[in-house]
Amino acid sequence: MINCEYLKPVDLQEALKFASQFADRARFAAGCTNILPDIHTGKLRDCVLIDISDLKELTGINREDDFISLGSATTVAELLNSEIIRNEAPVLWEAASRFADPVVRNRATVGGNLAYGSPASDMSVPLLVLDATVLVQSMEKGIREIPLRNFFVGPGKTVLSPSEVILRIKFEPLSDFKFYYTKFGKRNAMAISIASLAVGIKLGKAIEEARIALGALAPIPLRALRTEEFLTGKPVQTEILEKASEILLSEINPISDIRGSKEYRLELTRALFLRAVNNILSLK
Amino acid sequence: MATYSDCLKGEGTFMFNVVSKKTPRLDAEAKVKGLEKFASDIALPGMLYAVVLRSPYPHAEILRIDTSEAEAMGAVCLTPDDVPDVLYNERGVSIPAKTYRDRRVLPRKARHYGEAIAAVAAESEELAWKALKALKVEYKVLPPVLDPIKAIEPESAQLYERVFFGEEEIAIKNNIACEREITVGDADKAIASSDFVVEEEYELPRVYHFQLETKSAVCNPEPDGSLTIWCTTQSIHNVRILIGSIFGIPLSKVNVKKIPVGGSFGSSIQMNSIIPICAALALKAHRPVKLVSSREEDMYDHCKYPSRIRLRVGVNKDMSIQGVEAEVLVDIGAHQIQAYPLLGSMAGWLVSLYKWKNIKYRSRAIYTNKVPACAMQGYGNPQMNFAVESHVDLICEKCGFDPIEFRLKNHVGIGDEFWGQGPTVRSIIKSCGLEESLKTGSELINWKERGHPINKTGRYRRGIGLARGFHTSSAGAPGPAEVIDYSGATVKVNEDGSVDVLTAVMDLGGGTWDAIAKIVAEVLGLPLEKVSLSPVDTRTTVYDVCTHASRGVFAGGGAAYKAAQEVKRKILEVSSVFLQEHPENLELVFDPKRNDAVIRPKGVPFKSMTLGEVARNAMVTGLGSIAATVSFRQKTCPPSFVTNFVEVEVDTFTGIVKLLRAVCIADCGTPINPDGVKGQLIGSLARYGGYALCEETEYSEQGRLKCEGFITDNKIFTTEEMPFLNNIVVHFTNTYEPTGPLGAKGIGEAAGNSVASAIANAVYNAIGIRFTRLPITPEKVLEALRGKEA
Repeated sequence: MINCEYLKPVDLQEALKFASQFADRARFAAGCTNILPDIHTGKLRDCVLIDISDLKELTGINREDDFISLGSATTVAELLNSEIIRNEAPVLWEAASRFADPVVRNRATVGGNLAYGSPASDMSVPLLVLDATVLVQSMEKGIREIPLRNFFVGPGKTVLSPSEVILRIKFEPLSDFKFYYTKFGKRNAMAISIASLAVGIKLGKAIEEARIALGALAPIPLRALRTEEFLTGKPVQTEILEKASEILLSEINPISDIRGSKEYRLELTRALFLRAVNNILSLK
Repeated sequence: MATYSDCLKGEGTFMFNVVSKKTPRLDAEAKVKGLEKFASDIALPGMLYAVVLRSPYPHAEILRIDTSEAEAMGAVCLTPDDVPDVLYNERGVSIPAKTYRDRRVLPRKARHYGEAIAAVAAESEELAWKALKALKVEYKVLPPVLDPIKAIEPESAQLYERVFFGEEEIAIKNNIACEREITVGDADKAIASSDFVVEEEYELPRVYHFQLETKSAVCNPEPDGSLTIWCTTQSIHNVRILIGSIFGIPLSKVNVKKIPVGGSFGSSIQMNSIIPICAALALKAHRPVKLVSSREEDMYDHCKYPSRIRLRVGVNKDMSIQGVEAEVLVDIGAHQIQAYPLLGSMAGWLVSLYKWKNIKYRSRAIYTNKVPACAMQGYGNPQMNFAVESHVDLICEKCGFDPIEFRLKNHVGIGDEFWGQGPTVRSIIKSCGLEESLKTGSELINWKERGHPINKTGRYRRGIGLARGFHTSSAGAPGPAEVIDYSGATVKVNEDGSVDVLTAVMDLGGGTWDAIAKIVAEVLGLPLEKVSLSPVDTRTTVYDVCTHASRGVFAGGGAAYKAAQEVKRKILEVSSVFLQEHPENLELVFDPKRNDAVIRPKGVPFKSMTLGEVARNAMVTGLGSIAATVSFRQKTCPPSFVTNFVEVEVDTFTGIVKLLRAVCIADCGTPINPDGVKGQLIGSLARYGGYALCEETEYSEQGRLKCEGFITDNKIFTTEEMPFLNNIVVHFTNTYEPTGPLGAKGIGEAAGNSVASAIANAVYNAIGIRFTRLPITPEKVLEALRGKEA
């Protein structure tokens, strides 16, 4: 039997109180693009939905000193319409433009996409490459700051406790980096990623710093830290990039599923990585 | 012979005023504004909402269904015990003697996951769902049969013991639903003595129709004992006949309303499985009942025929074909919706493509515990076309022939026999635009520059491919056949000279109703806005078999054309009284100055009356209404020839195949709605682009769809996958079908049959790999490329 209740808190404090009160049954809900299908198919049978979609603490895209701060209830469409994101975080804007379709983008939120913990989460990849931090809060634990790269634990699992809500996501825009985002699905629109990848490179005479984030290629969206380390200080040479792509493949652990086999995902990662780096190098 | 473009210029037998001109869709405003009413929009006072319990097992006997708890909630429940013990076939297109019947409204044994086994209706949808969850079912789970090859092994479980073929009860052995063999000459001998023998096996996937509207029905028991039905269907009359026969109601007491359909692609040729369930609930509840399928339910209700086709062809050095041997295996799923006529039709598509001389065709349809397959835009033709058109390119590659010359030398054309719907539906081809298509298309795509795959290197490789196909227009034939095909129409002139057309022909979204209105307007010399299609039902129309087999314009429009001709004759007769002229001396023409139909003595423009004046005078003087009803059978099944040229780009790093350019050339005789024909061709490019490159609904070992019925993992093409619009060229060949209404043939199915074949041929031209199995997914491309390197 499906037993789902719906609560609409007046402010953040009440939302946190509800979450604490209903503990394991509590589910924060905003765009509901994952929660409603889960209720519909019976994956989620017993819950109290706490609607946080218009709490003011969780909305808005702001510039704060060196950081850009996003409310967790910011929709993907709002990202696309934001001049700040378009001009200062083009890698996030690009990912938003490839996210599902306009109808879903109007509802789906950045915080929801992260909190759901899907290995194929399309918002996590650009935010990982930007080395974002998530600000979370609960009655029990107060406010915590968690680097996004420590946020995901396993498929559908994050470090969030059931009563903890994501307040905001913040990151430095890194204007001295050049970025590239690419996503590969069964088709170009409205498709779940078979593989997605974002690369950021700070280029001097050699590669000063590299960041690589990957989606749908491991149990969690992840940063390829060993590949990044390998690339740091290296010149841009074909052999170096080939070697880097080998290290990259050893860092991921894709599965075979209805969207693609493990072997294909490995092959694809190499191609997408090389495509990303070549694109970045050709950007001036 | 005159062609349609002559008629457009006024140089043909007829000067077109409305037909072949671009006109806005008659239903455009209602559809764009969301005001069109489909079956799911119908709401009646006191209506109950129905939901369906579907089998959680692919193969299970239903031992007991306990409805007590659901009934205690106030729900009306329907179990196999509540429905008539009648075995039926949901598709009323074949003659009864050639129809297999294996289906009950609710079965005693579930034969596929998602098959309807019980239903409830309640005051609200919410209560209905609650009541549904309260049904308790005892199953005896049986081993599922999922692989059609294993299905015929003796140790496999049997889906059926006995079914009916016509009135005869027959035994089903080894899950073989039916078989058909056709032999012409001695293919074995002819192939053995040929210069070259080319053999290959092709495999086509199970895909879902993905029509926009999911199957819906509203049934209302009327106070006079009749039953009114609004439902998703391609044939209101066949729904009426089936409901009448299953529930034992006289046809005069079953009334099916003609309403718009939100797409179908063949999935509503048959009476959809939910319609009799909804009717049974309404009859049991004595209340109106509404039943709307979800997308997930719809995906578990119907699919395209997955097919394996093995071809062996003998060819001589002079490019002449000596013989073909074809073996076809079709996995039809849990029910025979139309497998027997399908096997016949697939033979027809084969024999009508090329002059094989000697033919040995063997085909089998196999039952499996999966979603029942049914017609889907092409009825076996895209499957056969993929095999044959891939094979023709394979032959040309192996024997060093030019693919265009080979096709020109061997194709079936004017004066040859065409099989429009299996071996009993044949007629002689009288119009054919294929030669023009190949010539024009190869220029438009720059065919000569396509190069050879061995010379192509680098990451991105481009290739150009071609395939040609056709589809029938109707299942009309000179004499009676295995397939029923006739239509009808009523045309009546109103008292102001405007005209109402009553037809049972359904419009599946392709613009058939516009075409019928335009044909009538053309014959009666009227501007299009003076012709309206009446909202009708089975009580107010004569029989039309179904909008299928690309027959809407040719057969349905043909009947309207006949009725309009009859009305024209009567108009001249009545006018003769007022104009004091012999009817033979009068003509009915469009007068552009008055924007109206006028009747005048031939060549005497100053002595004329408008049709409105004639109709009013007829009313005042008591001469009566001018109207005619006809029932009409087309006696031919002319093929519409379509040729596709495409250019693709293969990314050899990711395996992605991108469609860059397409040239679609159609010979549909007179294009009644030119924009409609263009829409069909471009729409089919998208539809069959997906068939070629990404669509497939695979099954898990548990007998469930891997995508679980969700669209999340069943992808059709979007605009993102299509070439840019200015890279799609549509061209109509200049032909005129003498047996069609105003020279028209069908287009709906012809538009798509050769698209996937052309794409596969283009992929070969890019990377030198021939894919014999669809879809050609990036993963398979990469695997094949790696295999080739190794």
